[in-house]
Amino acid sequence: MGPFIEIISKPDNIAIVVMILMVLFFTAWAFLQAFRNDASRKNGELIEGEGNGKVDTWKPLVRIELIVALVVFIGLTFWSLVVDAPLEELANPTLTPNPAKAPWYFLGLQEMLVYFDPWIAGVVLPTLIIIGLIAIPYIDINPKGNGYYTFSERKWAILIFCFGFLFLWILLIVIGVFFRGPGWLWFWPWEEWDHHRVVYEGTADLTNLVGIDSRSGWGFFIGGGVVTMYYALGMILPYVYWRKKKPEFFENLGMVPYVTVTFLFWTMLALPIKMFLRLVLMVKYVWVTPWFNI
Amino acid sequence: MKKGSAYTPYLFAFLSLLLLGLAGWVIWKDEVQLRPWKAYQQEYKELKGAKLQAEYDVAKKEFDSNGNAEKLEALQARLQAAEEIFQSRGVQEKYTGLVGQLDIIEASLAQNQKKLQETRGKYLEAEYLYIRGQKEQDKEVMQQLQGEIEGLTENRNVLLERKSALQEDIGELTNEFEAIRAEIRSLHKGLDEKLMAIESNDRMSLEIRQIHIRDAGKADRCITCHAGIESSYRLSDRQPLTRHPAGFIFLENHPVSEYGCTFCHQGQGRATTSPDKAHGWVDHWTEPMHQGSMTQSSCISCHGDIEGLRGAEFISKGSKLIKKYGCYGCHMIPGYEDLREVGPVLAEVGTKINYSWAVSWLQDPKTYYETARMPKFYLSKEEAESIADYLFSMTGTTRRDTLYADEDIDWDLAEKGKAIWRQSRCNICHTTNGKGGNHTEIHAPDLSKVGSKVTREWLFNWIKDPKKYFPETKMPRYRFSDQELAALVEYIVSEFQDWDFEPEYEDPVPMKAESIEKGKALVQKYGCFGCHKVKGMEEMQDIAPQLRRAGVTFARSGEMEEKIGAELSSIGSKPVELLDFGKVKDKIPHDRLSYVKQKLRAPRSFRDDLRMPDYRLGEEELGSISSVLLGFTDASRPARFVVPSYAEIEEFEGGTESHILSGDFEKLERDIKCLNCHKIGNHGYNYAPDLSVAGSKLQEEWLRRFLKQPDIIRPMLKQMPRFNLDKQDGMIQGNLESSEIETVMNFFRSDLVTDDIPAFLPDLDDGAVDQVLEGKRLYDEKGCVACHQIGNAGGSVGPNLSNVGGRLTAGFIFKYLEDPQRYNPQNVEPKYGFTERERIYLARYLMSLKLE
Repeated sequence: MGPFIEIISKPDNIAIVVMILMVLFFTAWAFLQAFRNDASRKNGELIEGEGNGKVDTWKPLVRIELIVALVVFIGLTFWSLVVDAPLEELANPTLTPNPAKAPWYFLGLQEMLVYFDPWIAGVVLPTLIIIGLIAIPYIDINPKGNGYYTFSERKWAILIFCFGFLFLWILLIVIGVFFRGPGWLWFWPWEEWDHHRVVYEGTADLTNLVGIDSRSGWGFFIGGGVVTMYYALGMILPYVYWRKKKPEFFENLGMVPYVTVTFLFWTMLALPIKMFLRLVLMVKYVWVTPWFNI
Repeated sequence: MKKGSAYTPYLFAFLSLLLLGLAGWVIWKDEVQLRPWKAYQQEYKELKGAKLQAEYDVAKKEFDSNGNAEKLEALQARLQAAEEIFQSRGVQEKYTGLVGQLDIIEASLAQNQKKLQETRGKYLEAEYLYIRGQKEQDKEVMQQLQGEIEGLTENRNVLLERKSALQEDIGELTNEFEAIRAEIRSLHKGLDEKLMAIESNDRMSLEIRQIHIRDAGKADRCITCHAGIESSYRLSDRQPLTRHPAGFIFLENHPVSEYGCTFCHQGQGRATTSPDKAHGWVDHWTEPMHQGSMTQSSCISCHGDIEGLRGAEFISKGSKLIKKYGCYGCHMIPGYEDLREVGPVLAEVGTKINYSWAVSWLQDPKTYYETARMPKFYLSKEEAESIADYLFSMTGTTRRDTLYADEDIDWDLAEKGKAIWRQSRCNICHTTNGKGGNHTEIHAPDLSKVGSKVTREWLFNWIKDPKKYFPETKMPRYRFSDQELAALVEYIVSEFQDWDFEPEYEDPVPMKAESIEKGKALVQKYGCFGCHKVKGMEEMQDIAPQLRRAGVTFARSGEMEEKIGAELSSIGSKPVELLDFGKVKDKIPHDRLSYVKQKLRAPRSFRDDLRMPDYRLGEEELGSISSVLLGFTDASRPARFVVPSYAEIEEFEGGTESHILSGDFEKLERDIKCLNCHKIGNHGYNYAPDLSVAGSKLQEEWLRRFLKQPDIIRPMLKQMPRFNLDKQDGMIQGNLESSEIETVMNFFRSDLVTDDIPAFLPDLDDGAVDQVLEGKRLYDEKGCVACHQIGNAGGSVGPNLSNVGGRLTAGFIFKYLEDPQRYNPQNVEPKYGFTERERIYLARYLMSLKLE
């Protein structure tokens, strides 16, 4: 565990450890509140924030905000007094650091580079994340859960967001900070970061696994077919299912938001699927085109 | 949140107080903790204040005790009397009147001056207009203004005259007491200066002080804490308030204001918040401060020659070791590029040595003799045999040993050889059974066991003409006859035997081809050609490792080649991150010095497949080598700091005054190697006297006689060897051929002279004094006898002077006595500061000392 303690106790990593603990704490806190509220409502009690039980901004909210601001200010001042800026060696243009890591909040994106080509991981996916966040008000047609904690009223929304945020964003940052060493190789916490370590990973494109060159015409069409089928089936099957089960849901949502939601959802899920393909089946790309690779 | 509102005010108050406390912490940290230099400066200021006060007290006491108080009293009484006269009515009236007149004149002078300036301005304008327009009216204006200027000038002169007359008149009234006042001031002057020093010390503010050396890119704040580093006072023996040690060498030649501190000492000159940070002892600071003698490695940045540099003894030693062990054979080291290989030629080594000896030598040279320079390569016996096979295969096809048993030896001949051995002073360079080898700068092999190593035939041919076997050898050629040679060889072979030597191949055994191939590969792998000339590998260098990694296996130009070891030309700047600590990662500190030292201490300890051999250096030896290596940095240095080496100066000056040998003398020198012991200019060694100015120093007749037969003027192993023993009357007669003596004489007369030394003593116009007797009186008075002998009386530190008048020129003695270190900085004779007259007397006296 020695190397692990060394990594988490580096001055610039302590803050990240604190942040992770805070994310876990507030997630747990929110779920606890939500379950408590759900239970109360089941018993027919009125919960805070719902209906007429609203509270004022002044003073209750502002007072809390002021205290939180003080706590944060004190925390940062204390931190800056105790810990000096963790400087590293002089920048040397002939000597790039290894591992070369992005700022911690981008390490999730950097980790994605292992699974996608730079165009997809660096440009397309981040753009889609932002577009998806912007689109939430337009595609979220559930009016409940406004101003109070609840889980039962917004199960899918909460689960999908938690999956996307906690697993695909926070977890990838944790991996990037603590598990990726020199050469962006995977190091377990008890392993020494060996700068000379060599790992051979023989990856191949998906079509090459069945004997078709991914760069040939056939390879292109098969790969493209797989990707197209992924999205097509991902949109048609739920449509068929829900059309039967909950026709009113579609009435409320409309076709365009539906396509948007499913597209974003399956794109998000594409990441863990690609991670699985890459790590377990050693698949490099599913679809190779002259412009981008998926 | 209803519950919350009850304790919110307390929480708020608590957090506010916490924040206030933090603010206090911020102020304390900024003012006190991060400014440790304040306390140092305050302490220094107090120490200095106390010292100055004490000095003042001493001076005051002295002042009082010397009767100065009464003197002062008398002066003050006189002053009072003079002032009383001045204050008397008549004088005062006169004085006021004169001062009033002076004021009037001053005022009119000022007015006049203003007018003059205006007129001059107008005149210049008119002149400009006239030059431009060439109009008559402008010229008229000009002339008119010119006239006015002349008038004004005249008026001014008149006024000035009157002013000085008035001042004189006033002076007559005040001169007396002004003079007394000046006297009082001068009496007080010493004390006043001391008081002022105390005051200015008290006024000194505590602040960060910085020296900015623009062209060296340094901004050093070291003197902020090291306040007394340049001080003439020794105020404290505790850091950081001490004085610079040996300031007369270091600071005198490198004033802090011009060189800063970190240029030599390294460290983080800008940091002031803690000693560790300022000294650069923090992570990732690439130039931590040097400690102790390691500081000397910075001398290399600017000084071309470090050997013999005062204050650079440690690196000087390191530099000599680098030359001794020939590190430059495998590594590119700046300044050591053009030196010859340290090991002997191996082209015909198969005819020279015994096979079994070669194998045991290759495995561990120190088993043959303790001071062997060749390192240990950790070869297995099989590997050593392969290398020996490869080397022997150049001249033969068998493994063979030749031994000489007692019955093979002609003992009478050996007895004759012993005498020759002694007369030839072989022991000056070679050690045998712990004897000799006094000339430590020349590295001649130990001969204690040479009889088991080499063959008779080889030894005979070697001594007959060493250059034939090894063109660059330092061994001189003795002009022995074949009989003498045979006797000498017989003596060496019989006397210097290794009784433990176990030959395996007294009956020759043929070598195997694959072993030879393997040997060749090993020679290439370990780079034996770095130190030895190996047939077929003379120009061999390694293909640069980075190219080889890229698949290049041939070398087309010099640029693509590298020496077999790592290039060391910027090892002192190599990032620690690039050093591979390998297996010793957890055992030694991660810094450059520890790495280099470990590399020298145990070269193979980092990884298993390393090639660098083990030189088995002592800690001090490897420390001094490291200090030289770490001096090779990428740091830029201002041109004004650079002190070029002798060699560079010689190159610039194109050989004039450079004592580069030429002509017949050069040929003779190559034969008998005068410069193995003597020094001429920057060439040669310090074992025997420096000959750079010998042509002016020595008398011709003496020199000629000495060359014919070197006298016993030095202890046994300092005597000059005889190179030519074969003359009719016995072995001791004769030396160089007479034509060769002329060659030497000519060279001394033409090249080894200096205008600095006069041919004759200057004439002295005091015929009455017996100059020789006067000189003798000085000789006795100054105690020369403590070090020099005349006859049998006197000390033995300096040379015997019994025959100095027959040996040295008078001019040399005359110049030498002025500054004994002039021609040889290592000379121990003190500077007595003789006057020119005294030096002439002494020279005359010494010239009278002659032996017939």
